[in-house]
Amino acid sequence: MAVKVASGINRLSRLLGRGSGTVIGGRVGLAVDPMLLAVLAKDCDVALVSGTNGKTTTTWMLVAALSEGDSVGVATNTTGANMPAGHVAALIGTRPVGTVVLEVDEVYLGRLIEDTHPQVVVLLNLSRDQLDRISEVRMLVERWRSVLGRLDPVGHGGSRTVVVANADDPMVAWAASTAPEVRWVGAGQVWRDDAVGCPACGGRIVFEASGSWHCDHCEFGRPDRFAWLEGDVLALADGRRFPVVIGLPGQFNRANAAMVAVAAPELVGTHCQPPVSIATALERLSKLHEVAGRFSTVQRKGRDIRLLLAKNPAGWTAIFDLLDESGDATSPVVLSINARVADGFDTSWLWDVPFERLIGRTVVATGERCRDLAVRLRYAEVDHRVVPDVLEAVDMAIGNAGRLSVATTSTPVEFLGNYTAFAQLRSRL
Amino acid sequence: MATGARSPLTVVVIYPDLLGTYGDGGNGLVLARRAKWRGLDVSLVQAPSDRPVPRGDIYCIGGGEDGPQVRAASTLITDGTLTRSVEDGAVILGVCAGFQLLGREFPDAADRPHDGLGLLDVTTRKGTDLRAVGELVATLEPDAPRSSDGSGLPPLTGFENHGGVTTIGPGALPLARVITGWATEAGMGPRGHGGGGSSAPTSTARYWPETWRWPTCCWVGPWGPAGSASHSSGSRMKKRMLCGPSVWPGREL
Repeated sequence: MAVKVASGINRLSRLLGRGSGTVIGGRVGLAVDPMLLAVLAKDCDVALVSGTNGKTTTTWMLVAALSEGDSVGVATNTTGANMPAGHVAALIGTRPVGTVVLEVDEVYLGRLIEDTHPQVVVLLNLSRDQLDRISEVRMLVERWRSVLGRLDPVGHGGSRTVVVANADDPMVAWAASTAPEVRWVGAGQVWRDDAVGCPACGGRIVFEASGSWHCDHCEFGRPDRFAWLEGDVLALADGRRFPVVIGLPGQFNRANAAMVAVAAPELVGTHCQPPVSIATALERLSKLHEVAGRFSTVQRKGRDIRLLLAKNPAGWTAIFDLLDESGDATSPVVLSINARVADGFDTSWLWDVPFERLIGRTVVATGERCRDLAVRLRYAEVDHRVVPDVLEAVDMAIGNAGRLSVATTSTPVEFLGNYTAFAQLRSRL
Repeated sequence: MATGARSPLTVVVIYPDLLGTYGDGGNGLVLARRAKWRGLDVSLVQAPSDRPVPRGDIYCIGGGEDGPQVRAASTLITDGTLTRSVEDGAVILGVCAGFQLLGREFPDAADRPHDGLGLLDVTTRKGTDLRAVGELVATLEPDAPRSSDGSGLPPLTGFENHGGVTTIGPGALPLARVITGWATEAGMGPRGHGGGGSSAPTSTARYWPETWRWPTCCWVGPWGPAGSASHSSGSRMKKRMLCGPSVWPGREL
């Protein structure tokens, strides 16, 4: 009954052009039957992916790693609708399903674990993001810790839940250390400013030059790792080594790939026979070049525009690293900021983003909160123009790039937007 | 430093590794940049919690999570430099957790009280209502700090995000009254100066000991004139309070 209602509403929503029909049907379905998610996920092999940054990308990666050729047979919420209504829609939209990979909003991880009895839970990283909704990172950590501590080592259907967790993030490590079975992956964590206060005792987390860490007051320290990333090689504690040569740019995506390579083989239910090997998983990731438009390049007025998404200080810092690694130092940059519910209403986080790294580039500020951004850029002493309309902003960047010199006419424009700002540009291109 | 040569002006951001959660590091940056743009010789110092607090002229202490707030307070008390600097005339811009820990007492996540630095006659307890989260506008009290030309400061705007409620003791005065924000919605109206036992959300009020000199000038955050922004509060920074005696006679930022 609830399934029929939800899928009917989704169809209606699409027919009326009121949306992609992924969330509204799920909402109604859950209103009819609060246990709808559990009903839909019953007898499925479920993997969940959560964390502050990289959820959507890692979910796509895990789907790719588990799929031969196209992704038929794996149900997933590719549109980024990562709360229960979106999960319901994903499961209804691709029935009947055997394997399920879901991106999960950090706040809803507990409910998803309880409803879907996952075989694998991938925990990427935790840092400040949407604090108007999350309040404090450590509050979230404690909720995760409590939920993961209730996992049964022999879970649903006789299988177990394996947590694949980033050992380099003390917040994730504290949360996941209650889980009965953890594969610790040294995936790296560049952003450390939310992890200095020890979550175990209130002491100070000391980060060592080697990348390891420990508390200066209690016994809490980096767990022994099952695998870790050494540049572009995934090293396993048992001595095996795998090259991580993937289609997506940036060290943070190699980190996501490392998590996926360890997670994919753990999905060993009735629908995943035989399990995917680490080598196969990584090989499949080499063919993934964009994720919901992120990292993609589009053409406008004869110029390449690379689309990048970042929504919090850790994410922006990682994207700036990406610009340094794979971009052109003369590329004009368009920055777009909104502050809607999906972005978080508070724009104070802009002051934590190292915009100073853009000094010397052509910078255009846009988005609904372009003036908050402009104040931040002014204090970063970054020369910039403010163009509220996002397409006009992109066109101004294109124009400026053309004027720099003959050699730069082929220089791509880098577009960096937060969540809804990114979606707005895509819908208008 | 209040004694001796006044140059360069040193702005110190206290413990950004523990109390930098809500973007308050921007306060130090803004102060330093505005001083620089006015031709002052200024240095901006980030002071992490594993090193001694350096001497400075203006200290900025920002908001943080409950656990790190406890650690920061105990470390600052042990270090002692902040208290000595204030006695010597330094100014503190305390925001959120960074303001609460300047008072007598504040709560941790389990609502156990912890000692603050005791620089302000205020006490913070956990609120009984929901956490206060949202956009905020507050107007300054009539006797609040003014610019050196005598003009009043514009309304303070920001974003509050806190669970603590602060009580003002007789030795402290508020900075501003909330006109839009959690305080008014919760029916916690404005209260008189120094009203012992009255309460205000921690992020909205500014207090300073009555015995101290009134500031002759102060500057808080980069607000723009009303209507300068395209949406909601526009150019502004987070909730913030200023405490301490005054500042730079003749050196307004």
